Amino acid sequence: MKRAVIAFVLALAALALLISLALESRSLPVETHVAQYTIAGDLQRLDEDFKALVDTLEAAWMEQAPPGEGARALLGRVTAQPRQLPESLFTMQGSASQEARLRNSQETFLSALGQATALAEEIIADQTAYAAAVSFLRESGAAVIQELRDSRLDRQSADTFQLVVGTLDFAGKDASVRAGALDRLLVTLGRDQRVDSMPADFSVLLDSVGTILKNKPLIESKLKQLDATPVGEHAAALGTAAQDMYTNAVTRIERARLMLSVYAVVLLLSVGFIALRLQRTYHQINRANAELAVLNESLEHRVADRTTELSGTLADLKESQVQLVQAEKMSSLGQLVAGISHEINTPLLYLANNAELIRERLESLRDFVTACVGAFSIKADDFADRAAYQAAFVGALRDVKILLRDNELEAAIEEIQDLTRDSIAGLGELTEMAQSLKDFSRLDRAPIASFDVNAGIEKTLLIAKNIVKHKASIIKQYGDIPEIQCSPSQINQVFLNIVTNAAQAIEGQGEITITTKLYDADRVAIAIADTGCGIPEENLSKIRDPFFTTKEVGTGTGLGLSIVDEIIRSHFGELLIESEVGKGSVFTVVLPIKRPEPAEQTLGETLDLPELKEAV
Amino acid sequence: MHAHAVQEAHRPRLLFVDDEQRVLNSMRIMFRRQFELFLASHGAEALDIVRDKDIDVIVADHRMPKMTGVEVLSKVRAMSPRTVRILLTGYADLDAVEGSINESEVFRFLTKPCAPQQLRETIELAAKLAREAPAPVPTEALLPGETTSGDTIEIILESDTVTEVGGPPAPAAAPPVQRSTSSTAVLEQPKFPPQRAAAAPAQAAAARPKLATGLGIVVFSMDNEVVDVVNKAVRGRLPVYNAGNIVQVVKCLTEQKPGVLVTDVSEDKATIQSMTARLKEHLPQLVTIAVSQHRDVLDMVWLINHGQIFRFLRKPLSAGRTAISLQAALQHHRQLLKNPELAKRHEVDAAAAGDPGVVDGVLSKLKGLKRLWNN
Repeated sequence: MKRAVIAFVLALAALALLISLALESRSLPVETHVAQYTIAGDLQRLDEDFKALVDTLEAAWMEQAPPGEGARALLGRVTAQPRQLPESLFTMQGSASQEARLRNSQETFLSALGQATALAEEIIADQTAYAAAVSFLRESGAAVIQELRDSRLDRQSADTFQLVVGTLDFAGKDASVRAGALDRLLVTLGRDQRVDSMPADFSVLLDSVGTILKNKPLIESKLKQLDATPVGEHAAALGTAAQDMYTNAVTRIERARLMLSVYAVVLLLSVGFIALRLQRTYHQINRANAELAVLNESLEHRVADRTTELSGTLADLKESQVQLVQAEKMSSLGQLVAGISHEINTPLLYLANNAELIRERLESLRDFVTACVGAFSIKADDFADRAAYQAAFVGALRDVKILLRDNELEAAIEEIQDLTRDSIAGLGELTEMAQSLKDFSRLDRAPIASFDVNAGIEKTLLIAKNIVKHKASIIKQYGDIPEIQCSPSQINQVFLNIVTNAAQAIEGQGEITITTKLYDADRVAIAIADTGCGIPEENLSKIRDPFFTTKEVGTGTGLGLSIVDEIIRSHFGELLIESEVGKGSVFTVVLPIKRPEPAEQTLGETLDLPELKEAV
Repeated sequence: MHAHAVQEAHRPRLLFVDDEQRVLNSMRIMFRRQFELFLASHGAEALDIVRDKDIDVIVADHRMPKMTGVEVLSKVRAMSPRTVRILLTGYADLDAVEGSINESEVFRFLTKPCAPQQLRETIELAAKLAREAPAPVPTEALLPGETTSGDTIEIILESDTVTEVGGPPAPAAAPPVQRSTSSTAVLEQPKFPPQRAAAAPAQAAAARPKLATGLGIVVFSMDNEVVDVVNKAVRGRLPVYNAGNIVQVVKCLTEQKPGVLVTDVSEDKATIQSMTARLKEHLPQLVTIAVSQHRDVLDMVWLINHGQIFRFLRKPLSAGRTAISLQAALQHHRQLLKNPELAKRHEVDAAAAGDPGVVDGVLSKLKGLKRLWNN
């Protein structure tokens, strides 16, 4: 935001500078140039005309002739010159002081010119009068004097004569003539004027003399004054001032133009730089955009991939969960099978052995029987005489006796008896095992049934016999409890799991006490107490969690107790666990006698027992 | 065989331990004629009998109250080394199998139900060996759990003690192999950097003065960790050869005559198991330690019965357990070298038919190898 404002201000400043420089470098108008070019000529011409006028006037004065038309024409030309400089000259770009100086010069010049022309006009008038007076005296003076003589006015005529001559001399620039004497004569003669007999032109004559006397110094001084009037100098000063102003203006314009050019270059460079930057930025943005697009696309791909992966993982997880539950079932099944297979294999061992031994023993018995039969089938009729018959019979009996040596046959019979007895017992064991497996799994029974808890425990203990028997002696404290409604196979699994855990908790030899009793009016309690290692308090809260196990990796999935807990909860029961490290644990299963409205469909499906039928 | 033909005093003494009376009954009837038979229903009783009687063969069930078969047999191994031990169990769990190798060093591992013929043959063979072969000196057993012993082996070459401690060798036993006493001094210092090639460099062989036959270890494993752990345990005191295939193993056995084979049976199980068995068959003095990633009951039982493996180690190898096992294996090997008759005790069931051909081909080389070994 701040940067934008600064950029805006900078741009405005740059624009303002550009405008001011453009204004500065604006060309002077054509009139100004024309004025500049004409003013010098005009002023020069004026000066020349003025000088010619002065010369003409002075020449006319020298000749005592009137200035004539030439002088008037010159004066007319001088006065006809423009009085003012063109205003454009003043409005040229320039400092106020220059303009003031120019105006000042113009004032000075104009006033000098005004004075000069006025003076020149006066001089022309005076000179004309003077020339007329002189020419009168020359042409009419003798006639007047004649008349005076004729009138006998001698003195007057003499004086007049003297006056006329003196005046003409005076006019003729005779320096010896004193104007004072002439003045006295003029005064004297002026008094005579009143004489009636005086000629008519006499007073004209006196006036002319008076004019000459009076005008001559006047004209001379005026001419001097005119000559001294510095019209030329002022004109030159004015010209110079205008020239200076013009030069200055041109110089300034030139400088402004140069600056403008430089500035333009700078601006162009800046603009170019900015354009470059913009282009680069644009490229970057473009590239970034492209990358973004690619990223976006790959992101989409990755999201898609990831989603696929995740859904795969989820599927895998679900699969794993199923497998783990299955694995736990298999693991408890494995333990079960371990025990059961030992229970089955031991009878099988001696059954097979016994059968083989019985077969062997029977062989020796068969030999004996064969020998006996042989002996007793000897008939006297077959022999020629009794002696031969007796010999054959005794021989046969010897064979029988040989077979009877060392009491082997009695031993064999005894052994066969033992072996068959053991074998029958072994077969009984196997049958019992098969039956208990069937009862335990209850696969051939309804999923929910009335269940004799004590009997169920008995079956379970049978199944778990091999797991338990080397670790603990079982103390049974069965109470008189009613049958409960439950899924027998699941509850058997619960018992098996807890009993197995109890056996595993025992190091060396211990005791497992199983107590059944009424918990309250509606529920029964089955408490399975061991003298095992106990559960540390910190594990008690976690022990029902799936996957929690303290067993060595690979031996337990840690799902056992969580499945037990799940089964019990699905039966609306409770699993209570008390434990003391070093003393043992008590797992108490509390189950309702009458099943509350059961959610039958979940039972027996998700938490089914491993199918023992198949395994066995 | 007729019972009366054998004098009571000469009949081999056979002890059965089983908590199932009917099994004992059956065994009694089966063997009473050939053997002087002793029956025990639990471990303590069996140990009492072993202590009092010079039992030739003991057959024990594993799952018994109070004391397992493995425990009984491992105690018997210490008490009466000459008694040949057989485990007969209804359910072969992993601990039982591993314990029967590492703790009890059983001669056979039999599973119930066992064919009467097989049972009889096995027990007869065991009795024969117990009578004919000299008694071994028990080496340190590898008990379950972490060991507190050091991580490296201490080579003890004072081989003379071997025969003194053990039972009297059978008269037929070959005289003990002449051993250089200087080898003790030689092996005090780590002299043998780990060897990667099956064959040691020539100069190394030349620079190894008077190294007794069989004092090397050949490791057959593609797993560098196995080789590293073994090298670490040996600490350069013995040459360790690493073989990558069976040909290298045989080459190494031929040229370097190592006494202990550490073989990784994790992969290519069939071939390697077969090789292990055949090697034991041809070179009974070679002591085998099997290492594996997996514990497979059937494989392990096979290796006991056909390969007489001396120890079974689970990967990842524990340095301590490996060192103890190597130490015991080397000691055992020296006993076998001193007293070749002892090797009879490790007679194996002939390898099953259908050996992978490669084993057959390679092992044909071993036929004449036996003779080389004691030279």
